[in-house]
Amino acid sequence: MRINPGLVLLLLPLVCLILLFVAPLVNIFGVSFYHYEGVLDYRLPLTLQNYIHTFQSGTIRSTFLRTGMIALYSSILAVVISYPVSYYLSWSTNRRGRALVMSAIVFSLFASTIARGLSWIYILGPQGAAGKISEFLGLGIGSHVLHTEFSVVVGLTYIAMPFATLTMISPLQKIRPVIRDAAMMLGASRVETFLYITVPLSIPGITAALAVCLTLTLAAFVIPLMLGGGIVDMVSNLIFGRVRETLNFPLGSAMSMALLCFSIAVMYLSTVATKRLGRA
Amino acid sequence: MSVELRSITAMYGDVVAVKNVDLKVREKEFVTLLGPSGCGKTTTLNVAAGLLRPKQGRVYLDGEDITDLPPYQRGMSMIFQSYALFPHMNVFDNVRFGLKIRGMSRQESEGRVRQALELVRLGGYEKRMPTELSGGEQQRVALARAIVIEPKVLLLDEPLSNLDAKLRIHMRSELKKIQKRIGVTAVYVTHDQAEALTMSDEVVVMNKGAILQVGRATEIYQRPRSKFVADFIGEINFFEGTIEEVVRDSFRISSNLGFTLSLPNDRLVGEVSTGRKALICIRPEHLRLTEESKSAGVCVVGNVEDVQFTGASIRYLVELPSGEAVQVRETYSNQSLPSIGQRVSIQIDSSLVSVLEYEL
Repeated sequence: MRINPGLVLLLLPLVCLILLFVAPLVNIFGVSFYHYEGVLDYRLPLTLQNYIHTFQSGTIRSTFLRTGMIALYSSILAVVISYPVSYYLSWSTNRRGRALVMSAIVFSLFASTIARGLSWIYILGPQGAAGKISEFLGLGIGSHVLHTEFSVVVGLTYIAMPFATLTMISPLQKIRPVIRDAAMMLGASRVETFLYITVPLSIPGITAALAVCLTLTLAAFVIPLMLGGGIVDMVSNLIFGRVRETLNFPLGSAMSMALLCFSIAVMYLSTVATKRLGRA
Repeated sequence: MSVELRSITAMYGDVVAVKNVDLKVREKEFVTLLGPSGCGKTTTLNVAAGLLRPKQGRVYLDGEDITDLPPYQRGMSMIFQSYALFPHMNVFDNVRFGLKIRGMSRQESEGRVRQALELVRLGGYEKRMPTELSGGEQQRVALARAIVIEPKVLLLDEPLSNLDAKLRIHMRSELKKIQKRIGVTAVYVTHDQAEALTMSDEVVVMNKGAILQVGRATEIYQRPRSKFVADFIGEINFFEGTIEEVVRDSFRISSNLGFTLSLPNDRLVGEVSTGRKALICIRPEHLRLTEESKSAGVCVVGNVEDVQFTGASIRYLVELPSGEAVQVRETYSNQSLPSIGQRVSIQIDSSLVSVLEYEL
């Protein structure tokens, strides 16, 4: 029997994937069915108790709902804000301009999430720019911005944006400029060309970017911790809290599995929704 | 509708793509811009379309200045080399696009879309996606899409160059037929001289961003006004010569190879004056090979260097004693071919010779 050399090359990543991803996942899946007796003491028989608790607890349920909403808002915002940037990067022939925007995006990824979260605490905090501006405008909401869902959405949007931008460039590059010329020659104005041609052809890129942003934001931990200040918790914060405070690994595992399924469901639905949007 | 470009200069960045171009296309005419790649023919088309703003000059449609109108307000259609079908729409929606933009409902436009598809013989293809079509079918959809809006002018940018040879020749006559049938003014861009010669009412030969010659196909072929045009269209032999004598409306020119021709003045492009150097241009098919012993009239002698059988005709390469190579093309009629190395005489038919001023 001849062995396909491609399969041999796949062996190493396959082993890594099994050891570092599949094995821990299976472990968590297993632990989630154990019975919690006390700190670090969980035993057989297997039980569904942890899942039942996850679905019944009002706190956990509302946290899931909040996580979904925050992730959706910030992902959609990130994609919408990043779209023009990706669009520019996909067609511009101005090398300098492209290099400048591109390095700005990549450099922002060099800074740690902590540092970037901290900068938003300053901006959104009572003494920050947001507060000053709202004071200047007489809105009087400045001191209430931090530690709200709004501030978490702002932070996550900011974190997700570079990923959204980078993800969309290549799909947008596949839209040939001559297609837009063809639309304009048939009488479509710039706005009509954008709506009827560019947007529908951008759907694959938008879908991919949305999926990447949702993956990031649904599992967010540091940003809600810093900008939510323990008031606006997301599921990851809740899991960490349960595990750290009571060392209830079985419950934490059950919640993790629930988060995994929840994420897959949200991403699936959002992908279906964007695709339908593109066809309309 | 007639189109006119007046002293157009267009740039791509810092590069001058066309310089001071004047072009007039009369109503319902089929005009071809012909030239090598980079000659500015597509640039000229894009200026007419409004896809490129000229640096200088004006564009007129039926005498009306449309230079400042965007492409979508010019009422022109364009067919692109790469077809440029909308990949997310089926054939029907592609063809309907222009009508939809004009605010026509689905019912109103349906008949016209079907009619356009029938015209390009793609009835029944409505539901197909562009990726399910062959190159030729895609280009026909593009044609239907372009004509369904009843454009004032049809612009075609090398529409056939991505098709295979046989289909290309078939589509030439089909395109031309449809253009005449719907009576639309057409501006066609190509680097393929055969396309230009067979399809056009008028050929515009371009090189290096300038128009070199405008005329009917036969005119361009038989009376090229510059060495570039003579060389670019068809095959041609150049011989250097000197004008010996001018007698009222004819002149005598002697070539460096020894033969002398007497020609009417209208054969010469440039100034007729004694002692001037000039270029004698002779198409390969206007030369004939004979055995050296049977030579008569105006002729030069040389050795057969190469014999190429191309089907309908035979192409000979004859090397002259001076080292120059001469191309000769004869129709094939089952005669015995001269063999390589054989000494032959090349007969020149002086009635089909043209002469160019040397430094043109």
